Amino acid sequence: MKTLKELAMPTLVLTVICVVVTAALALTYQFTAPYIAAAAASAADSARIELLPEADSFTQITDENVTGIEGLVEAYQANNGAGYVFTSKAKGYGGDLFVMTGINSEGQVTKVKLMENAETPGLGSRVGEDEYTSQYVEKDSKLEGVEAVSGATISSVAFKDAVSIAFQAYGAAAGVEVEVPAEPEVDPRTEIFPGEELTSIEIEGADEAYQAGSSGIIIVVQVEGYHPGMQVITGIGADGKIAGVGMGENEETKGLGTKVGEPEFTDKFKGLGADEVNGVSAVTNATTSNDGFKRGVKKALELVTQEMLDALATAKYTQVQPGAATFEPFEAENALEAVRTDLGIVVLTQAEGYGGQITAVVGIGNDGAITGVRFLSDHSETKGIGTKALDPEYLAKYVGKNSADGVDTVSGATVTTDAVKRAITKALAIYEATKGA
Amino acid sequence: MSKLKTLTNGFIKENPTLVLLLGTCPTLAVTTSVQNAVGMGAAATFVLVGSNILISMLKKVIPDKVRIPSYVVIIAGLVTIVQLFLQAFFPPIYKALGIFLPLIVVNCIILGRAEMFANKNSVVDSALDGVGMGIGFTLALLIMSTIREILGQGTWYGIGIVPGAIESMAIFKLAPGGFFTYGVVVAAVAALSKGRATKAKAAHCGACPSAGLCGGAEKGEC
Repeated sequence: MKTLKELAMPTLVLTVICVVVTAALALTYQFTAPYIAAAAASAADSARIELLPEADSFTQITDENVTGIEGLVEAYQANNGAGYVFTSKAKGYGGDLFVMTGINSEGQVTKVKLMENAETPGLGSRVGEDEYTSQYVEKDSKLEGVEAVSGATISSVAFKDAVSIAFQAYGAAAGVEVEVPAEPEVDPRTEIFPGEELTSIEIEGADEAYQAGSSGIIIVVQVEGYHPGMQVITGIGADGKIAGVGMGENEETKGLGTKVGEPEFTDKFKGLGADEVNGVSAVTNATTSNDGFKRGVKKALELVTQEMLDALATAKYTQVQPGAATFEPFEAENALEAVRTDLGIVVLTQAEGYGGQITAVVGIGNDGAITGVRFLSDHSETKGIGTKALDPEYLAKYVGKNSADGVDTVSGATVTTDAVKRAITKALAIYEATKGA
Repeated sequence: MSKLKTLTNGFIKENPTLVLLLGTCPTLAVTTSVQNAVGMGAAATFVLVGSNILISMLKKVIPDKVRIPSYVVIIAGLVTIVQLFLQAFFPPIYKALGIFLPLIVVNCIILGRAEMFANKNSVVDSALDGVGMGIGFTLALLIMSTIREILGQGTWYGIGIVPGAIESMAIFKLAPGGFFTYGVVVAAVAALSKGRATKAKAAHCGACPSAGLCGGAEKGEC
C-alpha cells in the first residue's frame, strides 16, 4: 500500500491540479472572449475612425460593384451612417502608393492619409505630410484646387488618383453619381518640342506657326477630315524632318476618327520626310480622317522653307547672343560646336549633371563677358528640382559675368548647379584660348 | 517574523530584483517605459500573490516529488488568466508587454518565492510575502524605467517632463542602456545598505531558489 500511495498520489494530485487549472482557464476564456474580440475590432476601427471621426464602428463592404473597382484595396462603411473609409492604391514614383480616404455622407473628404509607399524619402514622401493632405479636407469628388507638392509631381498625381479611386468606390457604394476631376488638356503644340519656348511667327498659308527655340518649327493647318475643321499640328525639326505630329481641335467621330490623334498613330510620323508621309499605314475604319490628317502634315512640310530651317540654326546662337549676324564655325577642344560671331563667340559645352550629360549653349561677348546661357532640352535632370538650375530665370544671373563663380547655387539642386557652372567654365576657357590664338 | 517585516522584507532588504537579482530578463526588457513597468509589475504581483496563496494552501496536499511541476502548472494558469484579462481590458499594455507576459511563468521571482517561502509558511504570511515581493519588483521596475524613460525619451509615463531640456539618449531605451541602468541601480542599493543586503541574502547558497533541490546548498557548495 505504501508503494501505491507513493506512486499514485503524486500523479493523482498533479492530475487534479491540472484539471482544476484547466477548468479555471476555460471559464476565464469564456468570460473574456467577447471583450477580447471587441477590443481587437475597436483597435482595427480606430485607424478608420481617425479618418472619419464621426463614425462609431465599421462594416466591411463586400459588394463586388465596389470591391471590383480597379485600384481599390478595402472599403468600409460606418455603421452609424457617417460615411465611408476606403483604402486605394495608385502607381507612384517608387511603386504602388496606398492611400486611406475618409468620405462623409455628403461626399466630402474628411481626411486622407498616406499609407504604405515606396516614394523617395523627403521628396515624394512629402505627399504624406499635413501640408499636402490637408488640402483634400472638405473637397468633393472633383478635387479642385489640390496643388501638387513641388518636386514630387508623380507622387502627387498618384496620390490624387488614389483619392479619385476612393470617390469612384464611394459612388458605387452610396449609389450616387460622382464627378471625376477634369483631366488637364494636353496641347500637342507643347508636346512636340518639350521644354522649348514657343514664339509665334508668321508663315503664309498656316493658321498658326511657332518657332520652338532653335529646335524646330510648329505649323498648325486646318484640313477637312471626316468632318471639316480638323487641326493638324506638325513639328518640323532643324533637319527638315518631322519631329512630331498631333491633332488639335476637331469634330471627328469620338473613338474612331479621333484615333488619328493618338500616339499609336502619330508616333509613326516621327523622323519622316515629305515624300514618306503617304507610306504611313492608316488607322483602320478611319480612312477619311486619316487622309485629311496626312494632307495637313504634307501641307505643313511644304510651308517650311530651307531659309526658315537655316534661321533655326542661327537661332540657337542668337538666343544666347542677341544681335549676332555672322556665324563662322571654328574648331575648339571640349566644345561640341563653336562659332565665332561678329559680337564674340558661341560654344556648346557639356558637363555631367545628376541624370547624365547636359548641354549648354554659352554666348561670350568680345569683352569676355557672358551674353547668354541656355541648356538644350535633351537632359534627364529631375523635374522641378535639377531643372531649376536650368531655368532661364536662374541662368540670367550669369549674364554679364566673366566667371561662373559668384552666382548662388540653386538649393536642392547642387549637382545640377555644379554641372551648369562646369559647362560655363569650359566655355569661358575656350574663349580665353581663342583670344590667345 | 512579524507580519509587517514579512511584508516589507521585499521592498529593499530582500528586493527580488535589486538584491536577490532574480527576474533580470523581464526587468531589462520592459523597463523602457514607466507605463510598461507598471503593467509588468502589477501583472507579476498578481501572479505572485495568487501563486503564493495557492501554493501555501496546497503545501500539505502536494507531494514533494511533483512539487515543481505543480507549482509551474498553478503559476502558468494564473499567468494565462492575467493574460486574458489584460488582452480583454487593457489591450495596449498587453501589446506592450508582448512575450514577457507569458514569460512570467518562468520568472524566477515567482517560482523562487514559492520554493523559498510559500511552501513553508502560512497562507497569510505567504500572501503578505507575495505582496511585499511584488511591490519590491514593481519598485525596482519603476526606478529603472524612470531613469531609462527620462534619459532615453525625455518623458515620464508618456508625459513630457523635460521636453527639449535634455537631448534624449536613445541608447537608454535599448538593451545596453538597460544593463547600464541595472548595474548602477544595483550598485546604489548595495552602497546604501552598506553591502549588507546583498551579502546577507544573495551571496550564499541558501538564497538560491533551487536550494531545496540541491544537496550541497547547506554546506555552501552548489
